[in-house]
Amino acid sequence: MSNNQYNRPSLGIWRATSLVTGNIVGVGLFMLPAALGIYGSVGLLGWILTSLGSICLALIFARLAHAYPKIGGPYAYSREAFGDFVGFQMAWSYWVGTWASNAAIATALVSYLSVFYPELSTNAPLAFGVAMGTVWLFTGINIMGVKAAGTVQLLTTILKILPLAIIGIFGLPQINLDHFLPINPSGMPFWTALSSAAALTLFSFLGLESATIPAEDVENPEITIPRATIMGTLLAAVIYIGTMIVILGMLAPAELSQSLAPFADAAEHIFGPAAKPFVAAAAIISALGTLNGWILVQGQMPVAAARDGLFPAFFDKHTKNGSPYLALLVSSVLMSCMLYMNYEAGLVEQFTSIVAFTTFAVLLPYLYSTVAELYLLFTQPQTMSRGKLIRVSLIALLAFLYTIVITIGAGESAVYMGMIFIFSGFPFYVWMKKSHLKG
Amino acid sequence: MSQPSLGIGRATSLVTGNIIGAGIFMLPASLAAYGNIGLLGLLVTTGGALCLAFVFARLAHDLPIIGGPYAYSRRAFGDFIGFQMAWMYWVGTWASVAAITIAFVNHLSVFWPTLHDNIALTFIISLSTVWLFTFINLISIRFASTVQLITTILKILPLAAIILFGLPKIHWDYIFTYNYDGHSFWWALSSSSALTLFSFIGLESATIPAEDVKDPQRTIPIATILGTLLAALIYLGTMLVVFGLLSPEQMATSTTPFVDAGSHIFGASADPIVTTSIILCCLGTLTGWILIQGQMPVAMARDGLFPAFFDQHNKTGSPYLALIVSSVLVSLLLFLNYEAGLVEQFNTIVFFTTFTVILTYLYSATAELYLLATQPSQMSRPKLIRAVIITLISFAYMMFIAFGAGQKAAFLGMLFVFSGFPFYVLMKRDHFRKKTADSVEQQEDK
Repeated sequence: MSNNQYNRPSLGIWRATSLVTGNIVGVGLFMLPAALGIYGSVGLLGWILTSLGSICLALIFARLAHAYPKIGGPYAYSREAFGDFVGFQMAWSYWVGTWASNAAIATALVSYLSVFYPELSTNAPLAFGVAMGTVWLFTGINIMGVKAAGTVQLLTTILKILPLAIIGIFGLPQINLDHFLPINPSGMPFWTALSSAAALTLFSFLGLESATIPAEDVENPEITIPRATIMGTLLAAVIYIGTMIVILGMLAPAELSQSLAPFADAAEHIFGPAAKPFVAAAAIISALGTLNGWILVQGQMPVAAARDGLFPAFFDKHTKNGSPYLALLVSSVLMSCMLYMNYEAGLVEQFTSIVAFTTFAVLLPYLYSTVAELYLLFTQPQTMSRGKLIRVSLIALLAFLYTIVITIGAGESAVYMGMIFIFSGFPFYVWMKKSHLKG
Repeated sequence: MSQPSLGIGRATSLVTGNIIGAGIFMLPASLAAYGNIGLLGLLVTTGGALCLAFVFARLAHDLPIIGGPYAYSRRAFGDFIGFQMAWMYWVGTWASVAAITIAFVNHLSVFWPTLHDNIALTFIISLSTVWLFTFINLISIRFASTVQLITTILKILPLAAIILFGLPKIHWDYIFTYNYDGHSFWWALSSSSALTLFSFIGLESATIPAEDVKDPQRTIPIATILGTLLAALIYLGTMLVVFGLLSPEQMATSTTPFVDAGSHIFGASADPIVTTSIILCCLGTLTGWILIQGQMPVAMARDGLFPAFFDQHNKTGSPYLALIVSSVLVSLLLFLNYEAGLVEQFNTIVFFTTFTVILTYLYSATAELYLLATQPSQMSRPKLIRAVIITLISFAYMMFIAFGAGQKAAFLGMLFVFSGFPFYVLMKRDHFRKKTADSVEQQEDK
């Protein structure tokens, strides 16, 4: 029951790339420079390190998508290499990770909005209403069709990059090189400062796999997905590093460490106070676009697993436009329950602890994907030259190690909660296998 | 290779002997931290452990294959999951062998105080102990299991005496008034159950050397259930006696609750007997666990998931290379422990192996559930339902324990599992190369 029967693939290279960049670069971009400010140039170095690790990961996903352009991305690769059970664990983990972190994006959006509408921070029902409205607006857009969602994604991604690019271009001549010295102003030992700074940026590239997941909706997938994954990740890296350079260069260290909204302050330096609202609007659009893209992704995983008999078959139902409406609806209902938890006084703690493990839930499929790539490289006949094989396996190994580093960064509590959560899916797996056998 | 040498008696003693180690003598003190909820925790664990024993018995009946939990996970979920189980279990085994040896030397220092100060001597005694029992295993599995049978009987006798003569003297009010105040009831129950589960590690022992067991389809299930039951009775009996003979104040302060309980029953002259049985407990456990640590690499090597040289046996059928390599690793760990400043690393290793055991049991229960649900079965419907319910209870119980194990154990345990992944790829690569080379040869032959 492929949706290709109803509809032609609708994501070209631009929409696919915007899915990657848009999902990576969210509202965090606007918060991080303030946190990284105290590290000075070392903070910049932290960005460069995480960017390099993420580019290794992007290269691996690009290779996997080229060889296996299948819906579900990391799930499909893990299943291909290690069988149904490992595949199921990945789909289960990733799917819950996506809708739970979508709830977190929606709440982050509302708390950002509350800067302009202070009532949002005091009136919980109103805040809940705004969060729900946003979530269901984008769920509606996604149900209209993958094409519509792809267009919204493209537009929001352009709108969030545009102000950043303008700040970058006009800010570059005003950079004061003295601000980059001393290199390590934090007072910590160099390596401690570097690892703390890198730790802040580790999770900023989650989403670089986004293009691999809706593989059936991508035009010419074995070419487009790899390109979109690499281009989208590179673009995100350029944005992160570029804005960091401009902000470090424009704001004096003392000013940066005091600043609550470094981007707005930088814009004010360049264009005067009138520019501030534009930056705020860009941040809001940024969060909206990320929500749109991640809702697209959350609807794909159940379809992929359902097609292999590992999730209930009803998830693999599509509208005439090829939108997996049931998967989208179920995911967004679950997300709404999460939002309810966040705005109901007694449940905030549970909400926070669920959100805390979503990073690990999304990461684990990365880890297994890098191992799947290594496994497939060495256990399938290869036509590539020896030199290339060595190069590719080195990149895969680096990506594997990098993912382990992020896992360590995710912390004990995230791994613990994440694993308990994965174990809880085991009876469900057996149940699915049993139903599949009968059917 | 030789004839299988483990009958029901030897196989049962492998189970009971591996379960009951020196840990039993520490248990009262650890349980006392939870008051009488600690005893309740032990009761919960006993129920869970018996369910697990049934699950392993059923698995061993259907798949009497060397490697036990590894073989079941591999059969149900494929090579990669199988490898993860074996990797964890094997490392967990030799880490426990090192821990048991250290416990043994610590108890020995009660008789021989110079051991406290002389680290070189302590290290040498630990090493000789490990290699003595490795040597016993190298002679033959039959000989090792005879040693296991004898030490198991010797350690059960004094414990049985404490239970038999202690039960009539119990002050029940000590037990019922020993209240716990601290965290919530459920937290105390979960933590104390997790703590006591570690006392039942080893209940799967008979499933692992399946090739050395006579009539394995029948013997392994009987030995697993009987051995676990025996261990459970001893635990419940001795804990009841210790908690019932010592007042709550004494429990909280006593460093040797077993010896104190022994004095209550038999007078102070019994002290050396209790201490001797502690030492015997360590030694017997060591034989059994060294037997086990030599089996897992063989099982993996046979499936191409570990280097092939591990699958080499001497004339008596003892897997000598697997035994020697494992014991070299044990020796390295011992060195870590006695080299000042590395004690922390050692403790960390032993700490996270607890989580690896949880994973092994959890996956075995899932494998059984999977096989029950997807394989054609000759069982009657009520029997099938009963088996499913027992497996589900085991699974739920292991989830409960995983909660109790805590964040740090889960974190380190998982990182350790992940660290094996590149090794898996390497093994698969060799396997693949061999296969390609073989097919090229075949074509050339044609």
